[in-house]
Amino acid sequence: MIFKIAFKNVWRNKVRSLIVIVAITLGLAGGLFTVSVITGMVDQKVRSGINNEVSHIQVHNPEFLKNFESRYSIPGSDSIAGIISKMPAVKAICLRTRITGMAASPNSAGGVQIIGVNPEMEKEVFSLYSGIPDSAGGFFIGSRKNQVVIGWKLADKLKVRLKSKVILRFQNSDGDLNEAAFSVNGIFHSSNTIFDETNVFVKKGDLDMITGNDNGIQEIALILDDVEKVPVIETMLQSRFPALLVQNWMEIRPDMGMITTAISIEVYVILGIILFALAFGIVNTMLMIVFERTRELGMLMAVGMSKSRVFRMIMLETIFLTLIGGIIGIGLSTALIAIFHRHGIDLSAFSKGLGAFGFDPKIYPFIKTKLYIHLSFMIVLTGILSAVMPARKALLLKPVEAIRVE
Amino acid sequence: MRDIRLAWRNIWRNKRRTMLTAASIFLAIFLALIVRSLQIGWFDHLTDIVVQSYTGHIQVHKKGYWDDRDINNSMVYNDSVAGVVKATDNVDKIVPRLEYFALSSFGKQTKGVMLAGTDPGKENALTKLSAKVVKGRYLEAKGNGILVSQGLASFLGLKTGDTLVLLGQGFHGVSAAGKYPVIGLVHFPSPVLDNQMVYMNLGTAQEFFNAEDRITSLSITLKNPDKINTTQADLKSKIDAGKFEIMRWDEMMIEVVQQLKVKTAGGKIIIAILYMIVGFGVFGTVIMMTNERTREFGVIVSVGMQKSKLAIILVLEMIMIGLTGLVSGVASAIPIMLYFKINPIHIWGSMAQAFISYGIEPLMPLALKPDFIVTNVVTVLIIVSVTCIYPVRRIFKLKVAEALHK
Repeated sequence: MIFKIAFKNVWRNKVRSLIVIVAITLGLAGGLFTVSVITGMVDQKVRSGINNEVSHIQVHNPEFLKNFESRYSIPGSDSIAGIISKMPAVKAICLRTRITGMAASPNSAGGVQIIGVNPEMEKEVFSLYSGIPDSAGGFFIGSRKNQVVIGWKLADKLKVRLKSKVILRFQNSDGDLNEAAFSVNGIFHSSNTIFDETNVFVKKGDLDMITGNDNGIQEIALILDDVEKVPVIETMLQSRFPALLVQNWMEIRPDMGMITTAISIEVYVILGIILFALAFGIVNTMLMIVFERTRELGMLMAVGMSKSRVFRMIMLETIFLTLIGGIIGIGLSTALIAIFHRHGIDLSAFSKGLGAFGFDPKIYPFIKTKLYIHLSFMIVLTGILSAVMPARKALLLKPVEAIRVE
Repeated sequence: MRDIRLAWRNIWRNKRRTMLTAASIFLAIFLALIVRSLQIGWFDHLTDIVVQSYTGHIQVHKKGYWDDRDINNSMVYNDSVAGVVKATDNVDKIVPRLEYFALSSFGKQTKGVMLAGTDPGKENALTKLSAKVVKGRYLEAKGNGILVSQGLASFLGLKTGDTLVLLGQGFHGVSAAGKYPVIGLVHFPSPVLDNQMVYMNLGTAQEFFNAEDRITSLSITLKNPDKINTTQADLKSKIDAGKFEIMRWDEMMIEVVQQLKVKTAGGKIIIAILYMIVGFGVFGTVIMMTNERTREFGVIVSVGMQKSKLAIILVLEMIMIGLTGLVSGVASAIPIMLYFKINPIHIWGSMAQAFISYGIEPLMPLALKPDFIVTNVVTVLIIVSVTCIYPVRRIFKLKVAEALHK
């Protein structure tokens, strides 16, 4: 009964109700869309970071991580790899040799991490190779010796092209200085400029041939079938291999983990500010409504409507107003986000800046389901909170006086 | 004058309504100012860090140096060049630097480093390098002692008092080699810098690279950073633009600037959404005010008041209410902005770690500048004037007979 009256009351002054509803709708749609763009950007960054640079979990000799000295390799890496690859949820695994060194061309030089890989294994875990267009070579095409795959940024810096010579200088795992000429086989583009400037890939076999010894395996990288299983597998691995250090992607790249946390906080701050502003508008409008209808409310009470019913009626009116706007707003933004998610938003005008921080210039906005659920609660809460004050005002009316108000 | 008095009395006839309308305008300006102040404060904070930690406001290089930072792109620096730059209006401090890549070697360890030769006194005036010394002492104008960044020193196993061997390529391909005593260790929050910097005084670096009287860059700070464009143009007219490039910090740090631009664009969108919401809030109250007073308008017009005069009074009322809201909003926002400008918000926890890893101090100062306050006040005034259209139209369309029966 009260429901019906409250609902009908909402439509008594259509213009007024529509203004509030439109404000809520547009506020939420705008806010959610902004949030979806931010979420899309960060999610893409994290995903490309995982797929191109870090994988889900990495295993090292704890000593290696201190200064990246290649003499601290993983003892018995082959048997360890055999055990890991048989573990549940492990989709792929690759073994890498890592040596700190310098890449030089006749024009310039720069410090790099030399990553010695087995190309086939590497491709199972990292998708960096798939981002190399045919015009930029490939990931170890052909069987020639001493090929290197470098990032576009390093190629720029060294002023080298495909098939150019690049000199790699490094200490092998025994500490001897080595130097060898490599030919550029492919140029990758990871969307993280720093990564592209400081990492080069060579075949492990070539490295060992040059140094004349087995440089060992410094890094085991694995990818799981589901990112959610990372914590479980991480703990399993760590207890199975206590002498090694097992790290998940957030530990390896704290900036990636932190940006995820930072953004999820920012998202709620944005929505919070918007809902706060909306709540203020709603309270304002409902207070006006109560004042305007003082006489009518007095009359209702005078003919026997209980105060609690009046209270509930005003509460319900406010909540209806909020919910209608909320539902339309969420609906509208869902549609908008879906459209833009399919086509992507091109931000290439800013892409140089974005790339430096590991962002993709094309953004596919989306919103986590969890956020929708939280937001629904937040909207209902906003409705209830902003209903209390006007409803209380109505409660405090004295019927005898209220009837006399003009 | 009489109109103003009438309007003034009108708004206080119904205090509640006036306060509600003023409150919605108060909220509009208050929220907008605080959010904007946060955004601008953050932008300025990052700008200061870039300018003060490294680039200065303007740099002079040999033409083409910035794209290809090679020792062969260095330029001759002597008292006459320094004199011309110093004599330019608005130039505050200048720092000549000679920077190039070299290999450092200590014991069995070798690592690529960035070797910076600089004027110890001038460098300290710009970047406060001496405050970053954590062990030993700061550079001296004479002598060949060097400063090594902490990350690099720990990689090499280096202490103050040890001697570091530097190897590299000097000017015109001459091979460079030398032994230098480590007089101090410096710490940089950014790991990129902390793992690769070596400082020595300019003369020693010129000798090492066999680049007598040459520098790679001349950093300039300005007395008034807002006049950067004029000063840049001044310098261009004084220095042969065919031989030198005169770049603003934002032209050099394109990636940082674009990242900031993306962030600013996002911030403006959020402000726009906020304005839309509060705009609807103000509009809603105005509509209700008009509806409530339709009968009153009818009475006044029927006793002979001109509609145009009534409209003027109504607009005056709106201006008064608007100003009340604006003045109180600005007056409450300014102390808050001022407080957090002087005592920046400390970012805590994991987020602070992420900032430090980017070399950013984890502080969030608010900005307080007249220009953005004016812009936002004007925006709110525009919103208020737009909402005036509704009641004014209602007055001109008013049918006295109908209005009287409301």
